[in-house]
Amino acid sequence: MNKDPQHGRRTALAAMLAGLGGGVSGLSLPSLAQGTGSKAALVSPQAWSSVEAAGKKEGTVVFYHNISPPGGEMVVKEFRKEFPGIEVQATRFASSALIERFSTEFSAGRHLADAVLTVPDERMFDGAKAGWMAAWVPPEAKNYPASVNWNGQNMLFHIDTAREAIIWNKKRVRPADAPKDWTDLFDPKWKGRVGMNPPWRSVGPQAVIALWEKLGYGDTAAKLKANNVRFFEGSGGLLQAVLRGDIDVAQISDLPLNVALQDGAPIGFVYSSIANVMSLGWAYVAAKAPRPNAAKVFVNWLLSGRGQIMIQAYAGLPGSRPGIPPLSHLPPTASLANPIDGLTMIPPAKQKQIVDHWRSTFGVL
Amino acid sequence: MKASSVTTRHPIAMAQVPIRESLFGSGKVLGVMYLACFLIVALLVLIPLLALVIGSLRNAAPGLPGSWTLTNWGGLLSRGVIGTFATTIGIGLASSLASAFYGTAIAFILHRTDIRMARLLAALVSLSFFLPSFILAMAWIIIGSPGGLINGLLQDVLGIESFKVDAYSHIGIIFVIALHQVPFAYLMMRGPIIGMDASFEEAARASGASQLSVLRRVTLPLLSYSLTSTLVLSFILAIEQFAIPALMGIPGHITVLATQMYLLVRFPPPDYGLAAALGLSLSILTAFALWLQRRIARKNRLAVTTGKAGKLALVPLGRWRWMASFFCWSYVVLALFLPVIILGYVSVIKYFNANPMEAAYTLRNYLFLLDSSTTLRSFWNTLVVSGFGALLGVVLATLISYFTLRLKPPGHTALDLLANLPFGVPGVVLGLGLLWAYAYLPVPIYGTVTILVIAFITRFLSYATETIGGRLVQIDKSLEEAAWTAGATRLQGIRKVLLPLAIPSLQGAYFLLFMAFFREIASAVLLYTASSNVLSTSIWSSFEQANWGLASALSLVGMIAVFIFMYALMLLTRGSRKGERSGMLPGI
Amino acid sequence: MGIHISNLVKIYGSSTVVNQISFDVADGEFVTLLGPSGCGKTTTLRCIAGLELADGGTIEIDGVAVSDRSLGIHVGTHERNLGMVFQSYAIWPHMTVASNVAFPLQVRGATPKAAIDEAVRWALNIVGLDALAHRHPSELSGGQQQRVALARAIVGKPKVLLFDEPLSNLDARLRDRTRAEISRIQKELAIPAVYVTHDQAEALSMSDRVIVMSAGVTVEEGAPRDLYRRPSKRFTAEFIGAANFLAMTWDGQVWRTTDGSAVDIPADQQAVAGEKREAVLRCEVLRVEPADVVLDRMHIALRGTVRWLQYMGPHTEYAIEVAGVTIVAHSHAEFTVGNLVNVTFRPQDVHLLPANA
Repeated sequence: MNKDPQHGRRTALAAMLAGLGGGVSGLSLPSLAQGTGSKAALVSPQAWSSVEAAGKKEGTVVFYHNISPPGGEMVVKEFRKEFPGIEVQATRFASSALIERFSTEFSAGRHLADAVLTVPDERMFDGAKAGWMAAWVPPEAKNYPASVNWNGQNMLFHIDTAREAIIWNKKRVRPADAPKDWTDLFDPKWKGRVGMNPPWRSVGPQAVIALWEKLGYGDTAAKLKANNVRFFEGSGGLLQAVLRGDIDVAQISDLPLNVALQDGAPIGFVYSSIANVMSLGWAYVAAKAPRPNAAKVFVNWLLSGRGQIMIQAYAGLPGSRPGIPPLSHLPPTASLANPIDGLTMIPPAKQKQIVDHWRSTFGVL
Repeated sequence: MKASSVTTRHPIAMAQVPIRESLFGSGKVLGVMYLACFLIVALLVLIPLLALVIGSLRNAAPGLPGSWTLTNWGGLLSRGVIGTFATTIGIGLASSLASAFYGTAIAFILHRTDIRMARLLAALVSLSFFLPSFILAMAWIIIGSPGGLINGLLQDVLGIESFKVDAYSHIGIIFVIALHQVPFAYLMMRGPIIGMDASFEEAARASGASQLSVLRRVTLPLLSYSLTSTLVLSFILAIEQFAIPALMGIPGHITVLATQMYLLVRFPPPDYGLAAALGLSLSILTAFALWLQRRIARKNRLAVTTGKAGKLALVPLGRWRWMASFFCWSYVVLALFLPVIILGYVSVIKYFNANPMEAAYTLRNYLFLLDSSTTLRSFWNTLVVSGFGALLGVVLATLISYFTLRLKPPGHTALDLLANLPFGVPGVVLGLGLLWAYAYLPVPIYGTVTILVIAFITRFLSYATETIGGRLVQIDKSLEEAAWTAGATRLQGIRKVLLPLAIPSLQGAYFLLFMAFFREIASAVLLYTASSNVLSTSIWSSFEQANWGLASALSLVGMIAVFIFMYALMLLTRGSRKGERSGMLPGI
Repeated sequence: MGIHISNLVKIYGSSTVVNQISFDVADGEFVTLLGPSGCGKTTTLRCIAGLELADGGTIEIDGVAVSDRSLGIHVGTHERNLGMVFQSYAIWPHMTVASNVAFPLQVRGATPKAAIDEAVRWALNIVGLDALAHRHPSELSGGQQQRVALARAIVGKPKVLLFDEPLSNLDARLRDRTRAEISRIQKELAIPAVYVTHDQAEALSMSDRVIVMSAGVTVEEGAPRDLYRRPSKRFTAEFIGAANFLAMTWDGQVWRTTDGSAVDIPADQQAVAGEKREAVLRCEVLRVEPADVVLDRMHIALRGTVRWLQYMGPHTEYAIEVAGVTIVAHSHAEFTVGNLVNVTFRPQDVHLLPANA
């Protein structure tokens, strides 16, 4: 390690972050999961088989998710192989749009969705309190640490994890010039060639921005504006833009990354050595689901070994299940420096502050 | 002896026993149909608009507790909104001027000059009308983005470093919107240009004017009404464009009203009230433009077209021949061939590579489509929505045209106004209004294809009424009157005389609606759900998720399927008419 | 029973287009409504047809009241059992000639197919179009289309025949021929007919009676000969045929023109000294003689000067200034402008318009 003047500062920061509860091994949630609250008894195999039977009778699951296409449908197809009697109608939304849609439908009394998988924000936790979610414990939960069950409430279950990363186009950027950490994004040598997901669009960038604030990088909106950052819709869009050469460097959620690397795309990537942000994907069964049993069978399958492997293979995200083989091209979350649950960085007030500031900096409404 | 010919209230008239000629004098059946038609149209149009008005005055999302407020409308005055308005209008003006010019020029060249392969070109330009806007956007991003083909050509091949193009710019957006709307301008100007009375120009030539002078001093002024009308309509279409500014504007920080509304509703923190206010103000803008256009069009009825499909002398192009051909073919290449080729290419590569020699190829997108239940459902839904919905639309439009142009019972001007109102309401706005209205009305259509059918019919009804109505006014009234004097009731007259003569326009309207429904995304984007996915929304969501490979594959397969379907329909209906054209595409 | 129209009124906006028109059409009679455009003749016809809703008055067809606003009666067009020929013929382009003609019988549904075919053959035969039964209207000439319209109008043996300026779209020679045909057919079938035209030649040659209309009212009504020879209104005289008018004053013994010349015509009415009347002189009763020719006692002569002439072929038309007015006369003789001539005529060819013409 270089003994640069920043070093001391970095260690102090790391300590502070550890104090925030960021450096927990694997995937447990800092301030949320305590394992308190009544832990519903594990479902007996007999009761579960009647759920499965009822699910087969219901025959359909309407599934809202945020898995990059066509990953979602491939995962669903795998489910169909194991449960041929249940058809999953999956619709993909960006995480915030998904929560928005579910919220509107719920308030209007239109209960169309049975199962939901997305990266949440505060609205979803409010929704949990407002009765969006069914209370149950999937049998597969016994294969997980307590943290898989959000707050022990038996409503939300942790399925996968996305991490924020930095990527570049290997054909256009020489290894020596490649970015190494967050601050490289503000480097003027990438002026007009750097891209990002706009924070008003989804939660991932909001968390990263909050992290940057904590790390003392100042007004990152102004810095990126000075660097002529380009916004693209979603991590997929960013990846495409990098591949096309519209930009050379980008900050993305690594949702589409593994699949692209599997295809042989010339993309280089790096995770921060200071601190990293995770976005956890949670699944629930809607409380007023028209087909609750089928939904439970499906969500349970998402937690099963096969389901988790399929998620890794098609959604390109590390699963939450302990013991499964890692992703083909990306490091497991445990090996990253100081992984923090992004949600902890952005309580609603902070969210609004970041979004408003970035909106006004970039002249978007 | 001179009789007084001006009497305000003739004494005899005052002694009349009123005859119920108004609604039911033409028979109970027609009266009931009129009432039903009126009611349906009123509901279709007013429900979403009303929902929007209500929404703009509330400070909470629909269904959540809130209160009445004017802050949303106040929010319109913020700098951000005003800036977006300015951008929208600016882009709208520029692209409508460009497309109107290009389209008129093409119409003139194809139909008044001796250019070669005019029929083929005309068919191709008309075909371009049906290419969805997001496909154009995708293709031109690939061609013109900072890392795109043009820059690649300039830098790697020609070694030019100083000049770069950037599709994510105002120019880029204007260019692609203009490309998308040229066919519209062409189709609108084709009729007046063909129908012009040649004797005006011949008189000018006989007076000694050169070809160019004739063009400048006779032809263009005669067309000025049609031209202005086309300009205004193109402007309306341009400011409600959604997909192109969404795909091309956002990376360049360019926001227009339509994309702004979408962002306000889809992404947090959502501001439904502001979105509704924005949507309504956009609608007021377009409604004003529409009113302007109708006034111009009405004056134009004292038209230059005599209906004598005369022997128009074609203007010889001489040495301008190559320029003119280049001019027309370049449009077809830029707007049709290139995008489709790029579409095909993108659909078979694993990830983007500007060099086809080095790209990694795969058929997985097509294989996925074949095996995907979502895709199958999309196709089926599209068939229902476009195929069946267009049929409903044509029936409704025929009734409306008949009532507003022939029967004219009391209230028919209101019906006419209602039916044409939605043309001035941008698709995204309509979608928002419908989302609200039907999420909360106790009518179980939310989340079904029915709501899509409603959205599309509401939005495109005026396309059909214009097509059918245009034909109806050409059918001489005496043909119907002759039927009545021969003993036919009104209904029999419609069935045996009016309908058979109007059938070609009904077919044309059906095709028009079918394709308009097929390529529509703006009004569907807020309404679709898993079960009501149609092709356009499936393609769009793939685009949005930047899975262009899948989107391209789906687009190609979809377009091929649709064209096969339409061609089959055309063949089926062509046989019924000896020598008569469907009027759909030139030469077909 | 014919047609009986009483006090028919039709108002458009603030103008009364048909103002208390009354007339009858007896069985088999051919009545023409004649007048300039805008006089209300077509509106009257359309009221009879039921294509316009009358605002006042009554219309009876074959004894049945079909329109009577004061009683709230308005029988629909399709129930009035009419045959109507339109100015544009209104032949349906998507049907064959035979289908066009069969339509009135098919649409009423009461006739079996064999009878319909029979009737169509009969109607086409009458108009001379048997050979063209299976053609489409687009293959027919204007005259042939007109005859299809006629066949269609008569096929159902209607109670009344209505014609709305049917010949105005034909060229002159065809017009003459078709005029004769229509007349013949109507007489053969003895169906009461109402014919609308602005062409006085049609009116005179075809009608049993002519009703001259202007500005919504009846100016004069009568048999063609009477209207031509002895009109009682100046308007009629002007509208039908070419007429010259001479202002005359009764000086107690003889009628004198404004320049004092005496016109010795039989005074068949009691005339008061100083009374002013107008004389109608038709072109064809006038002869033009050189001024120095001696005339016989059978003719009245008025001296005048040739102001203008036009060679027409069969004769030359002269405009001659006589007694302060310009008189138009025809002659085989050759005169030049400025010649002094005598315009001569027989006393019995002069028609004095009544005092309130």
